[in-house]
Amino acid sequence: MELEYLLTNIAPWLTGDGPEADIVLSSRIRLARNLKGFNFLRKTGEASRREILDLICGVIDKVSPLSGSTVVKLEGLPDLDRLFLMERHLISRELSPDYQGAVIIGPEEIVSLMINEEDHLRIQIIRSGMSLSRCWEEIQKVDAELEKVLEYEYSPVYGYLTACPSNVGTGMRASVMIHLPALVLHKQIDKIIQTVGKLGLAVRGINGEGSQAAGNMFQISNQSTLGKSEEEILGDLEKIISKIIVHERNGRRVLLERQLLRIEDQIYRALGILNNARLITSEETIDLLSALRMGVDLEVLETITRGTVNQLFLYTQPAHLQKLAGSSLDATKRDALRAKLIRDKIEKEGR
Amino acid sequence: MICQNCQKEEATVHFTEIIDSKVNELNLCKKCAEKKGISLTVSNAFSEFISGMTGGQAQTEDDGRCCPRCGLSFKELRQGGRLGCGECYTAFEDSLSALIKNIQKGPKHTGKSPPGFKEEVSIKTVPAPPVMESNEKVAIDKEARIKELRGKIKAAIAIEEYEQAAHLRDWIKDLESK
Repeated sequence: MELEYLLTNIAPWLTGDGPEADIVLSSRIRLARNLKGFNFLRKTGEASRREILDLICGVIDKVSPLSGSTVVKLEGLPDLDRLFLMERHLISRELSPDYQGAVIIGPEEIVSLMINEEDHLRIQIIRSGMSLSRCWEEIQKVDAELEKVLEYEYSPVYGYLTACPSNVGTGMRASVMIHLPALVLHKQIDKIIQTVGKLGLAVRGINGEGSQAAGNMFQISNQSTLGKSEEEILGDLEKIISKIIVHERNGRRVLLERQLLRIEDQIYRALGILNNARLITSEETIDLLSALRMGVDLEVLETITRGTVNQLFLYTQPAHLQKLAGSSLDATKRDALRAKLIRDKIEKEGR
Repeated sequence: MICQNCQKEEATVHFTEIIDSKVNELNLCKKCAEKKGISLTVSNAFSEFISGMTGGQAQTEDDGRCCPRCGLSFKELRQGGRLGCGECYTAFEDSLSALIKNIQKGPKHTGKSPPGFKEEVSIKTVPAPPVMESNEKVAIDKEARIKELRGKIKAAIAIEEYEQAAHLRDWIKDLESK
């Protein structure tokens, strides 16, 4: 499967618009489902997994939001392509060729289905900004249409049954990627993370489970999936996120009022390095892009758009760089290409 | 599944730790697990948690229990933290309900359901006894109402809501005696 077409597609979650887009990068909802009549993955053989894969691939034509989708099977897929899909949030690290894993990428990369991950089916919608209700509306449609042609494993007591009891019930994980540079600068972030944890939400770094918070970006998601309806879970999450947004806005206002010079200095230094570096690692890039993004959001920098910064976050990651280059590159060559890509993009924008 | 740490070897050690009702999962290869000092014995946090919740009773011993549908043993469940099929929720209900109670907001699903399951969900809110207006209406309403309540009893029993079922039964008795 050729994935090159994705390289030129600016996925809607990267556009940098939508509600609260100065703080919220993207919103994502995923639903875990399993097919009736099959064991969960750990108790299936290869034949059943192929059957599950064929069954789901066979019905996508009947599901209107999925018409025009691309099916990518992980068996035989080069490692680079797998990493590329991971960077685009289309597959997880757990999706494996050994389990006949596959992904169905919907038009425009808004909706996608992971097949044979931890559960038979994981439906995902991802959008830019604070868009949980829109994502919920859309994912419900996909789920309802799939439910007409597939029978899910469901119990009136436990709801949608999943391989891990931490997903059972709604099978829903909603998450919001949020940029909190002011709260980090004011050293309030640890307190916020602790509080959010106590309220039953999980806070993670940019790359999901187990990852460190890089670039002042945090992924906040619901932990519980059972005992509350989807709307209640989303409502709780939205309520807490909106409070965090208020704190971050206050923090940014204080920065502008009391430490303008210091903040401007930080933003322009970041721009200076990004504009001139000849070798740059992905870790350094993420931190500098975070400062650049703050500059855009605080309207200190007016020549660069939020969408450009978002795209740079994605396209400077290792697999994206190598896909752009059309070949695999060692670390130094990647650092050089990354630096060039950033310079070109910023220069083009500044013109 | 590949090891989360080295991203190279097959993950054979599946470690679930539960701290303050937060579930962390690690899937590692044997080498990385040893490096991280995770013991390869069955006695991981998941099983310790279950033994804690069930008072260290027989469930935590390998009592040879298996899911009748997929054959997953209790030992396997403790090792992987993942179920083998939908039936496992019933087969290991006693152990799972403790875990679910700890990590979830409630013991029952209250969200959306597949098209065929609407009735069971609707009985969650027990309807108030009907208000009778005239004798004539009562006669017509009574039979329909009793039929409806009987249907709800069936649904309540199906989801093991015995208290609810008893409640509904009392209403039917009440209606019949009028």
